[in-house]
Amino acid sequence: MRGMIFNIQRFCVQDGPGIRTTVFFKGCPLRCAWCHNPESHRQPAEILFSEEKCVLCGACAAMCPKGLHRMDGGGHAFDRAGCDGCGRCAGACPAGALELCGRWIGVDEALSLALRDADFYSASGGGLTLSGGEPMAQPEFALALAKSAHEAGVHVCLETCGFCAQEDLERMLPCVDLFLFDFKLADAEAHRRWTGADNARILKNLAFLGEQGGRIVLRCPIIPGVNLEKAHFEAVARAASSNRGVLQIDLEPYHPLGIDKAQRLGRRPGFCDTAFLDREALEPQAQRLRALTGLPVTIV
Amino acid sequence: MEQLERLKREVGPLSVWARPSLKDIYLARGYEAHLDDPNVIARAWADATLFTDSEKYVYENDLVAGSLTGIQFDGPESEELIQAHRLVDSYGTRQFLTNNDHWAPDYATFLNEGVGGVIARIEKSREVHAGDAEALEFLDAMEIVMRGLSRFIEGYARAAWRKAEACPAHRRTLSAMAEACAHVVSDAPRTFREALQLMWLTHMAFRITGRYAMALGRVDQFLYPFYERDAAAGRLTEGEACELLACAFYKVGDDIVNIAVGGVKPDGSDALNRLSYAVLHAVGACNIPGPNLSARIHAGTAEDFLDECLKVIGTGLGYPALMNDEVNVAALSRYGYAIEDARDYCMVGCIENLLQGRQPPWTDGRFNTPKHIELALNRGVCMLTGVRQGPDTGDPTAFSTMDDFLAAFEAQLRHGASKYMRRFYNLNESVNPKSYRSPFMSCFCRDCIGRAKDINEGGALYPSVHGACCMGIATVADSLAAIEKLVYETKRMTLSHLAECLKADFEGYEPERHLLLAAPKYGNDDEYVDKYAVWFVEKMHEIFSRYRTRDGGGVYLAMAANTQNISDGRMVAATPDGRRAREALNDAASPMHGCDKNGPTAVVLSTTKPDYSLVACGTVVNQKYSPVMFTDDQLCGKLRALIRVYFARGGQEMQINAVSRAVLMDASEHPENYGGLVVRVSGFSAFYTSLSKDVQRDILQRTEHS
Repeated sequence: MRGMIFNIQRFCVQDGPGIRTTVFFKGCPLRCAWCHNPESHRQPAEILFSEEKCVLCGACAAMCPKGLHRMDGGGHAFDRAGCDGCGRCAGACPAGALELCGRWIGVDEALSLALRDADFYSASGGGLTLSGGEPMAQPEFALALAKSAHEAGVHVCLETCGFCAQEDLERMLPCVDLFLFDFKLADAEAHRRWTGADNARILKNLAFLGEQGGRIVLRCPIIPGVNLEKAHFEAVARAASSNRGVLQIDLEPYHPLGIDKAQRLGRRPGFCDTAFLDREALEPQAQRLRALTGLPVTIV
Repeated sequence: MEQLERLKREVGPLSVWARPSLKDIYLARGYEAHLDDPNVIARAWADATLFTDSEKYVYENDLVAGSLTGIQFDGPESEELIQAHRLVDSYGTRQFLTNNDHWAPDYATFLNEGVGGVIARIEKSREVHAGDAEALEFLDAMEIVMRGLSRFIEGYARAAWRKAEACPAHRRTLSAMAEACAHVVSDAPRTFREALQLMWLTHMAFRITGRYAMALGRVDQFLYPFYERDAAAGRLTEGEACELLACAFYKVGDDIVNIAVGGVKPDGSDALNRLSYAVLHAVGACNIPGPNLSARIHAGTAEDFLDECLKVIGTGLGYPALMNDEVNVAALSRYGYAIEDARDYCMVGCIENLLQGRQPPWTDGRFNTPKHIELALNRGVCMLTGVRQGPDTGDPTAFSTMDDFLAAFEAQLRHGASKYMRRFYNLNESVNPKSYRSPFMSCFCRDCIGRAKDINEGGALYPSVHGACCMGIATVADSLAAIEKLVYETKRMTLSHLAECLKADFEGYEPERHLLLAAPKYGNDDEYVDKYAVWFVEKMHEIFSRYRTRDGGGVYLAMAANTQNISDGRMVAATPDGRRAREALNDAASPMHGCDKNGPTAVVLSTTKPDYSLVACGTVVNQKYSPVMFTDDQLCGKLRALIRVYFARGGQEMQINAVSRAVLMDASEHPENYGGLVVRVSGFSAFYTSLSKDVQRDILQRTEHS
């Protein structure tokens, strides 16, 4: 069983309790405008290109079997359209300007990498987090990985946007210790506009997990101009209070780190606001949410 | 800490190196009056005169008397001082490499008996050594200098009274200071304040003789009985003790004064007490580079103490350095010390393990290990200068296996170590011990008084030790892994071609350098390269542990560099890890900066593979985290867990900087805005803006995690 991932990061301290290893799945059914991981959108492997690092050596052009890299007019032109992400150009690039994003990984390899940090999990109450992209966009791989980790005694978190088949989520229940479930927008129309997908299925899945005894942390990206408003926090409070599985609410203030990555992918960023949203600025809303729900609320 | 804050304002930023000293005027006065006396008697009178006659300056906002202020001056040297230098220099003094400083006095014994008690012991020893003229002469010298210390303290008592009279607003605190001084002129201290006062004035006495990096050692242990008595009697709160400590520590300035807290007691039980916390908070409140705090952590150390340590680190100070007690005790135990003594170790200077008041002062040097890879690849000839530096270990074309290359490298290392040790012996033995006795220091070392012998002539319980700091563990491991990978495994280049690339500093060989940089690197939890770090520690220990100091003590291995990884890097040609000629070697025992790409857990797993119980001097592993890791309780808990795993797996030392890259970059560009920014450099902390651009760059390049 193999899955397409774009990163495995150790010592993750923001993706669930304790010290965690996070596997980032590549591919996502949503297109949130503010996404800070635009390289996770499409499932196939692709090339990130940082023009400012390019030394115009032409090593990539020599390696590319399809002739997609061209050095002309004192510049480096890259025709992405025909690229199948073989990664040879990135392997040859001496300047680190080209980077292959996405690789296939087997369950055993991912698990053995995760188990290297087992000592840290036991010392800190940490474990493995499946994130993305959207892990549930590769349901078989997600299940196999979560299951084998769970059997190895590793605490498993699943970070999901919730846009997936209910049966797939149901199969995850026995081997996921904690769901980090995104809650982006309550309004269906706004959800469609900002994420490209309907939220009815998401809300249904959230309710379903709660009914089935899933333990849930509600993860709420807070985006100025999108959902940084009173009505949204009230919706968050309602969603949390009405679901007995929700144990905690995390507020995730907007940061603009996705803009540069989108540019390196040759895409136009969906959201061009370059200002960080200050953590402290959300403290009053966090206080209010605590008061409304009685739940712990953290600002990530 | 209002008193401390007032003291800070009165004293201002304190650099103990910035102003010259008048000490030679007083030393010369002592020598002048005893020109026809035996050398050791003259030396004793010189120190005693310095203690007696030097100006005693008291700050009006201080709680603990004793500073360098009175002995320092501004402006050009007077004719009197120039004349004094001539006489004092002719007597000469021991230096760092001849066992002079970097030492921790036996305060535990001293505070129990006071000056009078020491003199009584000297008197008793006279009876034992009756008829032994040399011994009696040394005992006389010890008494002369202890009586000098007594007058030093008395002088401070008078200065405090005078200040109390001159400053009615501070009469209460200054009178208390004067009374504390007056009591310990001869008698043993009764209270925490008196004990601290006596310790501090003794420390200042060592300082004004010109010694630096004098450690205080296990302050939380030897002051605890006094604290406990006062606290039980309701005379002293933890906060008051903390403020008293802080007023003393603040006057350390930027000297490197090591203080050890926590750890185990001589009987092996947990040594942590309320004073450990008070010392930690006092050092944190001072917020200056000098008090070099070392926290001895063992498996049984309370979690909240580790948390408190992280909070102090998180203020940006960079200390306490966290020391693994289990590893250090095991490492010291290899040298035949009684287990109770090994458990009672402290640190001197940066991280060097020393048995407090039981052995002569510390010495160490730096060994440029990576240079020997260059020599092995070039038949013993320096690639930068063409000058022969090692034996001809053969043409690299003849090394058909990795083991062949390792054998040549090892031969170069053995020759280099012989040369290193010979240079040390030649220097270390350059003073005639009879003419360079230290009666003052000997009074604070077990069992110089009983044996009536100088600390450097067999008076100490244990012999002297030396630390060979083997630099470049990561540069070496990465280089060996690159050679194994590209020369012997994938055969992408021959060893002689590699040597050509290095000689050319990769000029015209960029593709080769690209391959070398892509080879496995230390710090990523990769056995392919980590095994060479294990090899490094075992091999260097084997090579250096065959040597002994002049008096039969151990030659310890150290894994530290201070900033010499930068200056020594300038003498090393390009290395097989892809490092260019003259660039810095890796910092201390940390992975090469920028090469630890798998995060802190991988760094921990890699850096705990070597056996640090072979490293008796100590190790420095630098880590840097964003300030939020220390201020957020949840994140701080995760950092604590990381450290626990690091220690449980046998890591020896970790020191952590809590500064963001952005802050450092801004500080490099606008030093005027960052006068007070303290960073931990290697074994010590320093003002960031006082560091050279090279060192600043090096600190920046060390990967910032999270």
